[in-house]
Amino acid sequence: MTLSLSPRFAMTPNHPPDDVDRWLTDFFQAQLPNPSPPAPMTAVAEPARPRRATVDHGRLTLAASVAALLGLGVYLSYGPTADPAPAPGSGMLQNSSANGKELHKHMPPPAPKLP
Amino acid sequence: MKPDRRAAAVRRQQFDDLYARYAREVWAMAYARWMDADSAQDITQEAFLRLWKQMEEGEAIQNPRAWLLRVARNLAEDYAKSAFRRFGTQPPEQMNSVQSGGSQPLEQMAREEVFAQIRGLLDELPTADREILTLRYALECDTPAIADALGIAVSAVHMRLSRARQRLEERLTAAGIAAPSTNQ
Repeated sequence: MTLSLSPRFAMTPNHPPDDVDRWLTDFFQAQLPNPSPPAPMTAVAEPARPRRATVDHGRLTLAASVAALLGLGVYLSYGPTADPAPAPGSGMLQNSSANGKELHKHMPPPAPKLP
Repeated sequence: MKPDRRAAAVRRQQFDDLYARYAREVWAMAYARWMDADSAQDITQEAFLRLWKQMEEGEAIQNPRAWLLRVARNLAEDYAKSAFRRFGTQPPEQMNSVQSGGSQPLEQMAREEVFAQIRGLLDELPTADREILTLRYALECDTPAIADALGIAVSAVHMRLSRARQRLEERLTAAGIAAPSTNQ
């Protein structure tokens, strides 16, 4: 390898040509990473419990969803099993306190029997 | 804070402390092998990730520093097999342009030119020479610290450092970067 140093640089006052130590110090110091890089990112091991809790929560959510879907399917398949109670205000006897006997009193007399 | 969470936080803090203390030495060890700052950084990160794995698995490491340096050396050797190393994307001259330092363009170019030459000369030296020179000049380690990092005696550090520096000085002189020493 042919190596040559320009005379101009060799005469630089800051670097006397015979100062091997200074050259080496300058060279090696220039190679050092500056600033020093941070420590490698290492994943701090998380405790296992939070991870399990997350999994359990997901499973519970899934089970609840499936149960709700099955319930809805059953409900839609069989339909309502009894007539719904009349809604307030929709009945003929609203606010009526009459029972069968009282109703009978207010009924017109039966038509006479024709011969 | 729950016990497992607290243990993880303590472990992370220990890891960060180790990184703050030894990352530069690990980097230097990797750099000495390949003379490439980016590769050295990759190796450093990988070494510390392996340390983290060991800590997470509860493996006791008696001497984290020695463990890290050994792993960095092994990783640096294995790095030759990686695709990144084989198909590197940047020439060494560009790898040198890490810091501008606010220099004028011409002076900066000349400086980069010399740095590329120094890199080439360092590449010709044995890895052991580069390791000791990197620790000395990059990290400015004193002799006991180098001895500790390399696992050798202080007297051996003196000898190796002197020889490595001598070998490099001869090359720098031959390249015209350094003037011939007056005491040779």
